[in-house]
Amino acid sequence: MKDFYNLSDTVIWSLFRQGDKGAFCYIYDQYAQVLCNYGDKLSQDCKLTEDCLHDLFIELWNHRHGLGSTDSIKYYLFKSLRRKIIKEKSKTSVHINTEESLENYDFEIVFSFESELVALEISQEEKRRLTKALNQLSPRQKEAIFLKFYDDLTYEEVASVMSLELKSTYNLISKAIVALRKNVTRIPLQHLLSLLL
Amino acid sequence: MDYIRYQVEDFILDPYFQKWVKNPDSQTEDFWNSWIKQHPEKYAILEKAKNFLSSLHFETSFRDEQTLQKIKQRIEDHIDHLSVQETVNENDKTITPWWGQPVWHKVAAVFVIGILLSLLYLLQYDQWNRVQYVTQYGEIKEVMLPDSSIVNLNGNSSLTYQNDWEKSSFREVWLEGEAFFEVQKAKPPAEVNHLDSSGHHTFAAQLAHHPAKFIVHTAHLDIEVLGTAFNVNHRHDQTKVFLESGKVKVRTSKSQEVEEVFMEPGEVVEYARAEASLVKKATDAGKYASWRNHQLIFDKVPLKEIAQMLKDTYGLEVIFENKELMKRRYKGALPSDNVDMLITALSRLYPVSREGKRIIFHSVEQK
Repeated sequence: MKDFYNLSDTVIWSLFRQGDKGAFCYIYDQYAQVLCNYGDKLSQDCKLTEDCLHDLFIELWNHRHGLGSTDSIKYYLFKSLRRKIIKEKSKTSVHINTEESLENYDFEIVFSFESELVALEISQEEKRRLTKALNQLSPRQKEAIFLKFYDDLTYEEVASVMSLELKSTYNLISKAIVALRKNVTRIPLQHLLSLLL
Repeated sequence: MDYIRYQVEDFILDPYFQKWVKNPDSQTEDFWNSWIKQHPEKYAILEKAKNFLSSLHFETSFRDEQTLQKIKQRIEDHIDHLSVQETVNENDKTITPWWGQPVWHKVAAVFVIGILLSLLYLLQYDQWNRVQYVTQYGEIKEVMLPDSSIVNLNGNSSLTYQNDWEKSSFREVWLEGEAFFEVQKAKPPAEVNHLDSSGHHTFAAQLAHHPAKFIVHTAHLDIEVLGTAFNVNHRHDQTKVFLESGKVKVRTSKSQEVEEVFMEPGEVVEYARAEASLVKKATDAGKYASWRNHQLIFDKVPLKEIAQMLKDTYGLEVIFENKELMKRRYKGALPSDNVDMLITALSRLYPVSREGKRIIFHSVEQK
């Protein structure tokens, strides 16, 4: 188990596909936490997330021979988990399971605004306002922001995980950033005003 | 890549810029540092973009190690098609040595004697008016103060106070290390008599009128409190205060110019002696006082910092054979009440082993 950390994703994935149990366990240990984290935001249901995680890994092992290669295990797992969770969630609603309903989902994230600057003191009030701005974004925008800036996926990976065109992904994130920035630049002025009171 | 024409948003969205802010290597450092030198007029824009990126943080849910391992176990069991076989052998629960008495009886006796001795020791201390609680490395102790406030003391820490709060003008404690405080609101002086169940006046046995102000002193900060729950972490030359609920005022104690900051729930104030100033941040609660649930939460924390924590709280010596590993960031929840489990959890991801009080991060030969 100790030797895996030095290997590239391509190699580890390849070992797993050949039936290396150690590689399989290493992949789980490496990504279970972040997968659950992402899954929770998608499902809003911790138990559902864990069940999907469990099912996902069983399926991966059972179908390992037929899987393709990848140079980013994280992205591959994210994409698979996402498909699974959305499918499970749509089972509980009355919709017919078409391609359309796969996009009918929610993505819950809460801003935790932390700044390194002494000058930028963020109070609970401002954090609430930013969270509000964040929640005015569409679920797709929120998910894209989360995948890009928390899980550090590349634009291509985000596009693939979310089944979008690369250009659409870039526009999606771009619009979201602009909307959030509008609220951020407002802060210094508000802060000044609150100091005067 | 026409960086000269870029505005703040363009930098925020640029992958190469993102890499420099979030995960820089020598190549990105060289590029951006020399680019700034060539275009100093863009410095302000770059700073704004950098700050925005650094501040994009989201509240994350952390599963503890146990939960994740349970799921893993279910997966492994399913894969191995294991049928569960109950093989519980009830025969040898207690070890019965040849001299007849079970060993655990003797162990219990020693414990009781040990407790009695330490009680006597504590009572003696009381007479001299100064009370002190000290924790060993890795030990967590819960302590009740004379006013019924509760303090959770983390490993390698000490809490001291004078046992004369009824006479003094403040309730004061001195802290070295880390503790979580749940401070009782000050009782008003009117509470002298109360009615018992039959309606008679009885004189309250403990006439506890304690002063209103509650102050926690650390080496550099005085934290003034009014009935709240908060965490104070003072290690080396840095103090961090996290407020969970209530209201708190933090004041620098020894510097030339006194700085004061009021805190609201969910906020963290950091003080570093080197900078000699108070920095306030808003943050998510999970990380700062998670040790009370016997869980340590790390959100992309470099292994170097985790090593420092292992040293401070558990008295372990940490050696990195592989310097590269120090920069690796760990995201997860580790058990804090069992060092072996903690190391086991880390060893699933990194080549680390434990030899008594030494933790070694190994270098791995290239194959």
